[in-house]
This record gives sequence, C-alpha cells and structure tokens, in this order.
Amino acid sequence: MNSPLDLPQVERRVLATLNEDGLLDLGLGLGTLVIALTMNHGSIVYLAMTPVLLAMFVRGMRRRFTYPRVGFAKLKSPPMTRVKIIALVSVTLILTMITLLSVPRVTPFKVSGGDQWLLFSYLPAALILTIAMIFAHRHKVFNIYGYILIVVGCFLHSRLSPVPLQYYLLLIGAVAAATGLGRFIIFLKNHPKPDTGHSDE
Amino acid sequence: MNDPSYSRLPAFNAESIDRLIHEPARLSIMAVLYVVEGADFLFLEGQTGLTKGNLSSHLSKLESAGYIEITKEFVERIPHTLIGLTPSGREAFAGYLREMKSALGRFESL
Repeated sequence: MNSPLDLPQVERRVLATLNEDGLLDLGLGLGTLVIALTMNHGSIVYLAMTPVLLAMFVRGMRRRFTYPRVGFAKLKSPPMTRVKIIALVSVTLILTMITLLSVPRVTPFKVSGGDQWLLFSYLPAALILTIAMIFAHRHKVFNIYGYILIVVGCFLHSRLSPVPLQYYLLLIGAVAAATGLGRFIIFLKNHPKPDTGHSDE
Repeated sequence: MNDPSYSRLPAFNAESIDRLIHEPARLSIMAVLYVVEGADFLFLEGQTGLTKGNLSSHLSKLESAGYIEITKEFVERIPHTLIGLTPSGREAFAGYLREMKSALGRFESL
C-alpha cells in the first residue's frame, strides 16, 4: 500500500516514473556502440563528443515522447558543491593513473615502459565514467553505477584475455540499447499520448 | 473505556495537526512535491491518481494557503508550468510529518 507518509517510497515511485521510458539505457547503449565502433580510429574527438550527443538525444526524446505522456518533474539535486566535484574527479583520475601504471607489475600484461604512456589514452574514458558517476549521483539513476562497474570490469578482463575491449563494448552497448528500446516500446504502449496538451493546466 | 491501557495514553493535541495537509488527496500532493523541486500538472495527476478537476481544486486550496507556488519556466526552451512547495509549505509539511510520527509513536508505545 502506498503511504504518503513513507517519503522514501514516494521518491522511489517518482524516480521509477521518470526513468520508466528506458531512454537512458537506450542512450547509454548507443553511446557505447559509437565509442566501440570509433575507438580504433584513435580520435579523442569521438570520445569527447559522445556524452554531449547522448545527453542531447535523451533530452530530445524525453521532450518529444516522455513529458507529454507522464509529465515533467524536476528532481531536487543532492548537495554537490564544486569542491566535491573537483575532489571526485581528481581522486578518480589519480586512482586510474595508479591502477593503470601498476597493472604491468601485478598482472601478466605485456606493456613495455614506453607503451605505458599509451595507457594515458584511457584517461578521457575515466573522465567520462566520472562524469557519468556525477550524473548518476545528481539524478539518482543508480543503474548507471552498475553500468560503470560492468564497463570497468570488461576493461580489466580485456587486458587479461586476447579479446579486445572493443568487442566487450559492442556487446554491452547492444544489450543496453536493446533493453532500452524494449522498455521504450513498452512505455509507449502503456502510456498513450493524451488527446489534450500537457502540463500547461 | 474501562481498559486501564487507555489511562496510560499520553496527552495528544489533535489541534496541532495541520488539517489542510491532513486531507488524503492534499497529503499525496504535498508528499510528491516534497521529494521533488517541482512538477507539472500531468505528473502530479499520474502520481496522485486524482482527476484533473479534483487536483486543480486541491492545488487552489494549497496555493491560497501559501503552501505551493505555480510558476512558468522554460525547460529545454519549452514552457512548463511547474508546481512546487514554497519554503513555508515545505516547513508545514515537515512539521506535519513530525506531529504525525510523534502521535503515532505515542500509540505504539502502549
């Protein structure tokens, strides 16, 4: 039974409604596919542009499909000061550097001294994951944390196996995009667009 | 009424409960608005399960009491009518929750 006095339950219901459309999963999946398909070209531009395009895609789709069906709500952002953001980004980058540079010593990775600098190309990826973590924290979309963990796990596993990271990302992206698309179709079926306009009552 | 447990009931002042918020429909509206910064009419309609007319009437009462404010703002260049709690509405709801929890706590202690 839903009780208005049970605020965590009310908040969970609000969040579930806002993320019911599956567009975030679809966007993350498509973004991962774009990164996987373009990573061999070695251009950081693709990597940097992907989160921006992803955000534009999700916002545009929500404006077009979600808000006219279930309405719009602006979430309260948990307090996230500038200092906290800088600290989070710095700690992530430092940990990433330490992990990447220590990897050849503790695992059977064959990375020569000069090639270690190639690992710095993963820093933009770490930065994107950090941004994703900040997004997940601010918007309380907790499945993004799971998604980040899977990507990091696949990265580490790809370093140990002969299968390139690209294939892992293709698989993750395809699964996430298919799940998101399925949820989006169900959402459209469950929430037909009202005849009258929305929100401006 | 001869049950001795009734004599152990601590004093409870029902007047301290805000009747405007206590009404179930308005309580649902206030609870949803308490966990978000703002929401539009359609979203509130879906979350509370109220009809348009009913919701509109309760919103008017809450607005008259100064508990909510209705503002128009642009979200992604699209005009949205956002309904949000005023600071006094937020305070009133928090106070209501405190009073109710305290009242329920008194009965649970029996």
